[in-house]
Amino acid sequence: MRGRTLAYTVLAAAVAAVLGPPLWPPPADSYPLSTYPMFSIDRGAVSQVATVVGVDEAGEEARLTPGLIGGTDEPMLAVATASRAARGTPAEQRRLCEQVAGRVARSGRDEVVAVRLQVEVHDSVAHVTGDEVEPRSVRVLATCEVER
Amino acid sequence: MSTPAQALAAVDRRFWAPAAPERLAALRVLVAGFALAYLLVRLPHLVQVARTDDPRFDPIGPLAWLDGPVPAPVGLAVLAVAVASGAAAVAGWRWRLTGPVFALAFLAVTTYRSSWGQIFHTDNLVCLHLLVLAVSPAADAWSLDARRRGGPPPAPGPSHGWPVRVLSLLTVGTYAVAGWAKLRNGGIGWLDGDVLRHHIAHDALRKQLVGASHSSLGAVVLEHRWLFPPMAVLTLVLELGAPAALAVRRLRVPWAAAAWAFHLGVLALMSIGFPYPLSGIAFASLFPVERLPAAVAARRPRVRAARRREVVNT
Repeated sequence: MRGRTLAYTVLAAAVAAVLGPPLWPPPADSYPLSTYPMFSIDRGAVSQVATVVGVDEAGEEARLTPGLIGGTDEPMLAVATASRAARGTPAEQRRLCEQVAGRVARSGRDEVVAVRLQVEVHDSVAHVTGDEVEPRSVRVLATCEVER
Repeated sequence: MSTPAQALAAVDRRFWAPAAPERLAALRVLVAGFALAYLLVRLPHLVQVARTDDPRFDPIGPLAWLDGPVPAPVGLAVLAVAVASGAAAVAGWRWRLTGPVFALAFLAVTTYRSSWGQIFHTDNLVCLHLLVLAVSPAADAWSLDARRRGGPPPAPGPSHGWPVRVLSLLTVGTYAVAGWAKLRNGGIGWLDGDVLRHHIAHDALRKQLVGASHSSLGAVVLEHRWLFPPMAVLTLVLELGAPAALAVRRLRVPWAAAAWAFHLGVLALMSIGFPYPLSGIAFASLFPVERLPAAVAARRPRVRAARRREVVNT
């Protein structure tokens, strides 16, 4: 009987784990219980993406790497780091800018003399297919020199 | 007996049906083995995460109570416990202790990894599977515990069957919920394919902007808008149809193959790998995986004989 009770308790927990998050209002994504919202919301054709870019002596932009932006090699963490800073206060934006500048200074990317936290607006499909490479707009939130 | 009572009795008979201890043992080796390999492959990244001390910390799930990142030695110690208990769990050594410790340590490590503003949905299912296995007698066979105990493995029983069914329920349930989320959030309009197309483009764009690589195949496919409505329909059929694979045995192979191909498509178009389903282990509970060693052993003499024939012919 004890075994049966355990079995049905685990079954009930499993059903709750799968169905609970999407049914319990408001549906909120978490871990390990999830609403599995991947690819479900229409993001539209125009995307706003926060990132940190490098700037060389001539003022040209250079893409950095996930490691330089987010501190780990995981691209999604770099994206999340930049997005979160962009949504934060000017002090938080400045803090990420300085952190990235510090990592760039130690990275051997000598051509990069400054870094910028910015939000770029693109037509995502046109950008990825190469039809419209330049952003529609860029909003610079913080700029920091790379001190060596 | 009334119809609801008959239905409940039928569900009970099916859920409580006996199974061989080797089936559950095979799942222990596969699922815990996958989780351990995953930790080892991602170890450099997980060490980086454990050492990160940053205000962007945004704890979720079972770690939501944390005020800030844990000190690096604590994070590294939990990671070490996860790896050590994972090795013990795969071997089935002191399973009643190491199984739950590994499941909880894996939960802690992967929750911490997802507590920096980005939830990694790649880890959910393997984590849930480990938690179920942890409370089951998954080391009654093919384990150091069984060897220490001696004698033959226990006879097939319900305690070796229900955990397998719960694992399968979790597998198909997560796909069904993902499909339902698409309809709930995107409505029937999700089927026109634009939502999927925008997602693939958005994902590639943000990877480009942080200097990461993205799928060149995805960029090519994005130019062909007509491909996306059928892709959207197939995705929804696969996800919402997942429970059918649990109910109808003969649908299991085609459904698992389709789900595997779906993840292969996601990898090819978005460079997003879901290693658990791609390894096939996410679907293992749907099949008699305890026959794998015998099938492999039976294949070996045939392969050897074929090689010998090749050598003779050359």
